[in-house]
Amino acid sequence: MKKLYWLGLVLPLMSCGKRNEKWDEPAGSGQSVGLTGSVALVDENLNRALMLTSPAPYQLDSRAFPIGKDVAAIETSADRDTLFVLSRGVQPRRNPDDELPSITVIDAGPEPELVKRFELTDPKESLAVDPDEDWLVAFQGGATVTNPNEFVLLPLGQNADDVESVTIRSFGGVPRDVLFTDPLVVPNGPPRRFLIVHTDRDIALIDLSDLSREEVTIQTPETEAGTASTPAQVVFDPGVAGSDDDPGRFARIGVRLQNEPDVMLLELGVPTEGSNKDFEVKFNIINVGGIPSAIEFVNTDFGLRLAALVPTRSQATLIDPATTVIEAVSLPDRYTQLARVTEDAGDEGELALLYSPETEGIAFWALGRASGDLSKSVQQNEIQLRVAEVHDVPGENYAHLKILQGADSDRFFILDLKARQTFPMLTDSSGFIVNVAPDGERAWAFRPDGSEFASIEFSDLHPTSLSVALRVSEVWDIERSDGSRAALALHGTDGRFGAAPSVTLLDAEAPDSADTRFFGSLMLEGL
Amino acid sequence: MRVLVATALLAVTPAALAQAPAETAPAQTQAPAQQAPKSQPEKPGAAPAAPAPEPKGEKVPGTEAAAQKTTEPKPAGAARAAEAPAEPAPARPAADAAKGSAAATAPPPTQAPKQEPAETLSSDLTPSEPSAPHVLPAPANAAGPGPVQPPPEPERFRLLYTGPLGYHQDHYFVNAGFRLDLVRDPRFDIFASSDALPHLSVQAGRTIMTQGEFSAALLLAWDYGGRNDRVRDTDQTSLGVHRLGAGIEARYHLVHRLYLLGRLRLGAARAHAVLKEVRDFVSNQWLFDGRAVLGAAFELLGKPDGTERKPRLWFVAEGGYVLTSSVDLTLEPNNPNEAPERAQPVELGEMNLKGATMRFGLVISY
Repeated sequence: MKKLYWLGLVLPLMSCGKRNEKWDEPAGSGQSVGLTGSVALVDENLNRALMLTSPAPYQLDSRAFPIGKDVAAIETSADRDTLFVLSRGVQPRRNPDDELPSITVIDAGPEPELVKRFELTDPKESLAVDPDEDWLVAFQGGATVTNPNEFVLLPLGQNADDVESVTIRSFGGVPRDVLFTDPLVVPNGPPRRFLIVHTDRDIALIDLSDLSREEVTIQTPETEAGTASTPAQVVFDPGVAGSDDDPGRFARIGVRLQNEPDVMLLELGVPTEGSNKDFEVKFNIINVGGIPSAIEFVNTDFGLRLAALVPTRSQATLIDPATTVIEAVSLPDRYTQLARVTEDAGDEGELALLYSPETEGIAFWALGRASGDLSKSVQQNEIQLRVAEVHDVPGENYAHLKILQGADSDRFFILDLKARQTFPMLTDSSGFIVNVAPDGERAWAFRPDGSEFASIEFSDLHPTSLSVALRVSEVWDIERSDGSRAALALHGTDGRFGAAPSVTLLDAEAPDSADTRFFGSLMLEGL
Repeated sequence: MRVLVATALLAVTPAALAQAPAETAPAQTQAPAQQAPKSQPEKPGAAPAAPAPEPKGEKVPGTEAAAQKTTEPKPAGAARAAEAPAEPAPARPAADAAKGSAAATAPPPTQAPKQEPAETLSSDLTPSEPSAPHVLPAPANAAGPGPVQPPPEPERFRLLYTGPLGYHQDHYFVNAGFRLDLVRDPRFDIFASSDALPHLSVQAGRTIMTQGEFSAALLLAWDYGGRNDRVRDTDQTSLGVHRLGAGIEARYHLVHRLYLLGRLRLGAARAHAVLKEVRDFVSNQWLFDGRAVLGAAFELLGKPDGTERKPRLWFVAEGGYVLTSSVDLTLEPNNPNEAPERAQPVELGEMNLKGATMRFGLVISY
């Protein structure tokens, strides 16, 4: 019995000084985001982002940044040099110290730093980043009572402390997505940027040059069933500012309607006399002969057209926005997607790429050379791939290349727009994912279930096969502090197989399986 | 535990200890009267002419000091004897009489002649006959005809042993126990869910010096402690620490069964940290290790007589502070060049194992 007395004394002592809870928080999957100079590893359980950098060859560094509690959305800037994290904070807040919803902005270069932290009054679920990095928009509230039509706009420029809330007029709709436009030419006043919000039954234009101006809401037409049609895609043409020689044209907006054969064509036209508005929206509804799968403004020899792909008819419909006259163009197959590649194709004139995840092959549509019979402007390229995604190659050196990737294929293609050639890259199994390096010099292909991957240099399209010890979940190519580049093959960041996140580091410019470094226990970094 | 508390109470009241022999004086003075028929026809009050018997057998450590102590006057006993002039004063051993103790100068008894006195508690000079000094005189109310049987040795008597500390103090010892360090360093959380770092602890040494109730001992010590846990639900971690050291221990005996101690120990520690992930990452480092503790030891089992070199079992409890140099938690892979990983070290900062410490142990002395 005396021994039990000692146990009674010792056991409480053994449990004294409980350790910090952070060591007991599960590591989680560690969602990763590849950026220009770093890889963000989101540690949601500890409310932080680990920014992994490579200061020198085969060296890995990490810095932890707080990102707020309960992450709702993670976004990057278009050039991937900035990370934005939207968090809900503590909900419901019961104490003054409970964390508010916030947006954290982190510079994701080779030496990451915390740029800004915005605090919000109510939690939001979605975040949109302006491609020009002038604005952030948080929307779709997540509180007990929310106003779905409220948008919180946060300027990223000089007046970064000014948080403005804009509520659009509601006709019963719920916002689905937002689109930042380029500066649009309007009749009165300088060109200005708009935030286009499309709900499930209307679209709203918010003038970003003056948020105090009332937004313009355009309701969609009713369907045959009597319900409001739903916007499925919004595109815009910025217009052309007039000059002495050229009258120019005002900006236009095209709206594709879900499961409807009609498209809406809006013009930011001249307001009626006596109006003090800078523009007035004039719109037409045009039937394109079938349900369109994609629309895009294109510049043909005959001027601006709104192109709509109608796969059920294997045709494209060109709409003259000035007259709403339509012209049908027969296509060699049922292409469902259209991508303008004019700027990347060199001096080819207006060029669009047609593809479909349901149909093998692609087609080039040379709209700039279309004269007479438009059908002859379509050139088919029969590749054995149902293209689901087209990846751009950033930078100037290889912008004419596109990566064509299928949904679940054992191959992908590199498309040379200048030469109109496609180069197949065959893989030993299906399910490969392709990432393009931010410097535009190479691509990385990997299969999430495998430990083998490859880099493809765009200079000679030479693939280098690589192998590491563990299953690869992501491959990111980042800039090192010394100006060279490093490749991070991440393991365990997809939350599968219960593995803790770790990384194998390679020299991205001269990758070699025999010259790698492995760094484990990433989620213990910075604790 | 109750024994320990009672002992502690006695230990912290030296006055009570000093008074303890005096309290037995009346009983001692009555015993000869009750055994008057068997008493020897010796002249009452006369000092025995025979010299004090020499100790037999080996020389007992501490005997000289004890002898000097027992030959000093006993004021408490003398006072008690003076307060009871009607009672016959017992004859004292030669040593006491020779020193002219108060008992020896007390008035002669008026009743029965003095018998050969039972050896008193202070007769420490006969270590070879331990049983005789331990016989208490019969209590005063145990009057009756016939010989009086010695009463069973009461437990309390063991605590009141005031003989030479002898081997209670001067001995070899082996000490095994359980030690608990409280490590407050946040890095320690990597290896444990609490701040406790338990050790198995072994010490061995011997007394090198005695001076009255004070003594000093040198010792060698080895401790092994460790913790293991999981961090972030994925990685298994463990920490093991071997500690080797030499130390000096100063003691002060409150009674023969109880002494206070202070110990200073210096040495080296070998820390072995492991992080198990897809492969093992380890760190092995030598550290400086020092500690200072205060404590107490209580003799659980053993002969009260300090003149006998016998095994004795002690319980020791101590507390203090540990100082160590820092551990660099740069954990290296087992085989850093093994392909294809070529794993790199995991850097987890620095950790210091300093902190409060406490220890419980059992000591076998001989």
